[in-house]
Amino acid sequence: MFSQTEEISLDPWANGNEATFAEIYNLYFTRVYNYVRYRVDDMHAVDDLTSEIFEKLFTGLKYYQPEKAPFSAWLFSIARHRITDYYRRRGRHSFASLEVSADLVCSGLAPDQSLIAAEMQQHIHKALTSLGEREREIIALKFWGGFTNRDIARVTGISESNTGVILYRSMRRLRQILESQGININDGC
Amino acid sequence: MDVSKRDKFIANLDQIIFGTVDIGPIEDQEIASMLQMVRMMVAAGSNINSQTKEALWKRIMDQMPRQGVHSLPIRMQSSQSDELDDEDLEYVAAGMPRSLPGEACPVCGSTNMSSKGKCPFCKS
Repeated sequence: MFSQTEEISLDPWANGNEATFAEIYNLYFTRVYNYVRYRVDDMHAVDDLTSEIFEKLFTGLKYYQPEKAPFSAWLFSIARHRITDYYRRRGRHSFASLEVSADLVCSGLAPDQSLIAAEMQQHIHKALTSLGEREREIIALKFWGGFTNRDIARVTGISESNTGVILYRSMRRLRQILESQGININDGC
Repeated sequence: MDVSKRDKFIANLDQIIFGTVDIGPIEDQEIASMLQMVRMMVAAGSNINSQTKEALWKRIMDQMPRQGVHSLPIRMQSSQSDELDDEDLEYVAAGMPRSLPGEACPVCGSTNMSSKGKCPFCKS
């Protein structure tokens, strides 16, 4: 499991070392940030949660046991729990913050292309808000956790085949939402 | 639902997510369009502003003491919280539930037995 994702090999004696933290952060930041972004609509909360997840990871690094699970499985387990806790504290009243985020701008594009791409990405995130919590979690785990359908099934407690069904239906729905808004997917970056 | 269509999409989705650039021609227009959306989502996520990354790194490091990182207490939450404490972090591995103290799999010896007495490793 998780064989297709990059894994870090940790020197247990270097676990309290800032250089080790930096290595982990550089390797996993994008995935963790996007994972949170896909599950939480409020951009400020995305930043807060991402930093809290890494803090939790770094302070708990001494407990990681490679023989029990791949590092990314451990990391995303921490992230999942943190987000569950976030929604529990908020009483499950989620709201969509539809602010434009500079983080969602494609790099390496001309300014006009970049703007189109950024708008497209914003449309995708808006469309994500129309999905249920479970659907968003499955998509987030698939895209950014590096989880196979079997891994997702194990951590979410639903069957592997059902995971595939939910994933397919959710992605289909995302596409339908975008098309209903008159958005041509082929305009993206 | 067309199962073969779904399976084809899932297989191609895995390829794109795990980095296959060219997955070949897709005849079904709906699947092709969905996969294009997948590419866009992956590309968008891969281009996070580096300033955000740096700012969050600085914030994290500011929160961590210069010395004795290991001795930092992990903030305890209320009993309703799903936040992990120190002890739970020892057990958290891909969502596996904790076993009761002293409970081990009679087949492989794993101490990660589920609450239903099932071993996640040897499945006994």
